[in-house]
Amino acid sequence: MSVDLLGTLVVLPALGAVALAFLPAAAERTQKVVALAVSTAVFVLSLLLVRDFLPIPSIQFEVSRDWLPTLGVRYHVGIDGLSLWLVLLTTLLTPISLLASWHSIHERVKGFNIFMLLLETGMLGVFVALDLFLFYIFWEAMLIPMYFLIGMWGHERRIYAAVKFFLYTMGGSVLMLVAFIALYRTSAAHTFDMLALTRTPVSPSLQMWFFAAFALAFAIKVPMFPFHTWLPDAHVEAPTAGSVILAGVLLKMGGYGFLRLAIPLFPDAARRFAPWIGALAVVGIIYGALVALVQPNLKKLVAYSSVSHLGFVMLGIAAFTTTSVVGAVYQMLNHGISTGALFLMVGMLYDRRHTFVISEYGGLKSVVPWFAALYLLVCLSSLAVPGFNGFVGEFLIMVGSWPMSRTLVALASLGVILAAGYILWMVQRVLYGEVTESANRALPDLSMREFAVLVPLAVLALLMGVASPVFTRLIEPSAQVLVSDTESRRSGGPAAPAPTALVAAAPAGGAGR
Amino acid sequence: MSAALDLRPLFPALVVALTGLAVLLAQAFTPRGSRAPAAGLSLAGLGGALVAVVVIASGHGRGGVLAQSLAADDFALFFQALLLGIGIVAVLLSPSYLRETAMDGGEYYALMLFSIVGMMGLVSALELVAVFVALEIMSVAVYALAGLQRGREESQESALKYFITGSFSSAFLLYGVAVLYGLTGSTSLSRIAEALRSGASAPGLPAASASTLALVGVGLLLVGFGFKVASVPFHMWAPDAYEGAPTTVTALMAAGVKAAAFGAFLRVFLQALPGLAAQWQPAVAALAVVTMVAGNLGALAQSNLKRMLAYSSIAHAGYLMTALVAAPGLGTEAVLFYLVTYAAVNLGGFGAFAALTRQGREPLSMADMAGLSARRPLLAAALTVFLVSLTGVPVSGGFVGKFYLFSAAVSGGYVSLAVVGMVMSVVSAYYYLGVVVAMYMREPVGEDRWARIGIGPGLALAFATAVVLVLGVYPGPLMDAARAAARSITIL
Repeated sequence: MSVDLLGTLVVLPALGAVALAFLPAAAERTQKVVALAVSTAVFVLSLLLVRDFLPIPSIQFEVSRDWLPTLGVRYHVGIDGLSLWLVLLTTLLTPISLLASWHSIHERVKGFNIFMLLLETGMLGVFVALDLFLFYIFWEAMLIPMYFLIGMWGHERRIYAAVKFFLYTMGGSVLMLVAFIALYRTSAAHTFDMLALTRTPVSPSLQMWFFAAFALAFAIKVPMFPFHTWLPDAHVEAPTAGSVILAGVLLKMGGYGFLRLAIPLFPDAARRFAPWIGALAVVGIIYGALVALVQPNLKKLVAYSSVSHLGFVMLGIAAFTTTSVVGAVYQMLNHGISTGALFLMVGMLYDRRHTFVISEYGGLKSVVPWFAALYLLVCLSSLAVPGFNGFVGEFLIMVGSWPMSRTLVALASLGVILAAGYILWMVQRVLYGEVTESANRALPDLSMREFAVLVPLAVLALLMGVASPVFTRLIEPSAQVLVSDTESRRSGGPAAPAPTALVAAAPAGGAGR
Repeated sequence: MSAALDLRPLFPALVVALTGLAVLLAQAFTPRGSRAPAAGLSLAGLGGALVAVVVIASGHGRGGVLAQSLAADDFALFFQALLLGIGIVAVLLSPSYLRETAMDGGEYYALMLFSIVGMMGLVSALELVAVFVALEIMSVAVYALAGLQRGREESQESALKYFITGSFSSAFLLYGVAVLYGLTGSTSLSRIAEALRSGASAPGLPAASASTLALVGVGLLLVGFGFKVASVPFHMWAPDAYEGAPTTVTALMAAGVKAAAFGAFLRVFLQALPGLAAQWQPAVAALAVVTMVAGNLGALAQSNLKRMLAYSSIAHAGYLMTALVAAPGLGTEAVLFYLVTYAAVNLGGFGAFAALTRQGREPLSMADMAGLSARRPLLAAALTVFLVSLTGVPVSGGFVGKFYLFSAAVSGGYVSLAVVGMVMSVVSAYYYLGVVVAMYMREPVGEDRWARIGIGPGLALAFATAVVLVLGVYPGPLMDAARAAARSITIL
């Protein structure tokens, strides 16, 4: 067995956090440098994953060892096409968020950096874990640093938002834990190993219960429409870095959970629930967009746009064709990049003016031209203009979801139009027109540090728009096998006529080409 | 039968008892005005006893003594090591607390040691009379400890309440013992089990009334133990007793008394009454549910931190009882594992309050905790670890323990218990996190009037934190030990 690259990636930030704890509290600059250096090193290491990743469906960089034999728990990690880019997204957004917070966090700098690094460990752990117990440990442990980030460095209503975030997400996950245990006990495999459990059929009646418990946890995390109420609070109250990580990575865990666990483990129940999930996803798309449309608060607008964007992801997951799954994974990455960048830029505005109210801005184009240019670019990527990353993702999802329900796709496309509405209107009110507030006349443009924060994301947004096969090439094999495997394990069998017409889909290959 | 009385299995308890006497004597021979080295002596005695436990565990002098009334088996040794560890931490916490609250040292340490002797006997007893005697040794010492702050009314109230309800529950227990003796003609756990299994009951008793009598006996025992572990509806004494007792004593009560009571609970029900499991399991399951629900909801309503932790300890008795239902085997292991993490966090939690006590003032309210992270960063971090573990969130021993407990409940077919337990954990997150919110997210109020953390409490809290974190990441060895201990009472 060679080096456990994934394990190293996961542990490294935590070790960095421990090292930080021993630095004197006054050495703030050193703390920032150490945290940034550690997270950058993790990013560079994670590039090795891309270099050595093969476009095949199997699990790669796999390591499996005994951990707690008494409980049937193993240390089992590995990645496939579903998780590869999510790992990269995490390792990229962490140093970027740290750099973005360089001057905006003044108090308890040490604690901030420690929690950011611990958070990175938790997030990476979720994406690489292949054992349910291990997965759950990272899934839950991640709540604590995020809770502190919101509660200690957030805005006015931070305590309320932090507690709500914690209770909501923990409340969603506890039943999943019971389902994990019950799954372990009832399945013939007697294991927490995800891959082994996927191969072990579960009786359809039990599947419904298990799926419901899993889906609740993941739907809250996404968040899907009626479970989204924690998100605007958490997003708006969190400090910029917290919002970026929350939107960029944490929300992706919900979609990832559906793809990695809920659907492949319980294929029959997933089929039964799929129309509902699809419908809720579309409700989320439209509802999120409508609420975003009327937000006077910039950060809240971005937060609700997340609800809308993640609706697309869930639609793709519910449709469950190769194309739509590739689209969903791709859209998760896009959302991480565009919305992450949007939160960063909104944070930069806040650093300058200490307000999120849209009407406080206006005419910024003439005052801060570089900022305006990048802001426009990020907004266009977020509203999925062709040539940008968002377009590829939404297009794949809509094409892939067509076989499930044309009505839903038609309604979802309404969300695209609404997105153009709320984003362009917001751009107009912030960037164009006259400078109405005198405080805005002397705003400084982007600093070199801020350029360094934004340029990688802007480049990626364009690159993923024009060269999507570079990315989808590695996603597609896993998505295809996931879909075909799952279909073949459905109790009706792949050939049986499915009541929801789910099965009729899956055009082989072609996605993103 | 060997001619010489082999007392080796009793050695650890004897060492602790003799240390208690030595502490009293040292007190008597210390000139007025100077302090006896009571804490040091106690630590030495408890440490020595711990060494003795390890030596016995490595194979020297296991087995029963005194006509098989007490035994040093894996189960007893596991608990004795735990109880001695609890004792050491409690003693480490004590000197600064006694100084700040102007309490007398001599009888305090002696009583603490005697109560630990009782606890050690309780977990080794193979026979119901020994259970009762050990229980009383423990309880009487703790009643006195609870009332030791003579100047404080709450302390008096605590001691009185604890004494009256405690005696009451002891009476229930004794009545249960009498009934079972009447029915089976023995007080030995294994003989009772045998008699119940073979149906050989007291002569002249019709089978129907024999089984009714057995149920009465089991019910009385259940009430007695229910009181001791503070399960709802036998919990009313706990909040007052925990609140009023000196905080270091509360720590001992929450960790030690509860662990020892659960030890005896497990042993009696699994060794003597496995034949009636079909009757007592549903009752214990029902108690577990109401205990989890009422404990957590009660804690939600508390503004006093000691009372909050008291209700939380009631709730945790409920979690523990879920696994008791799933016993034998996995459930017993889970209880043993959980008791270790539970003891660590409760010693840590109450210990943190004790460590902050200065000139008779203790931190009791959320306002007292406000901004603590800025003034006592290490203590706040340790307390956060304890609270996270109590909530059952990884990475902590509390999470692994809860996972273990609910695994046992699910494999015993009680999925609903696990669901209730997990949902209640979310409720508990609200009040545990409230303390974290106060410490980290609110500004300090007024000037800093809390004590600096001394070496003893510092060591104790660091040790408890380390236990919680290590068990969260590397629980394997303790699981193995718990498994061995659980086997020793299920196979007998």
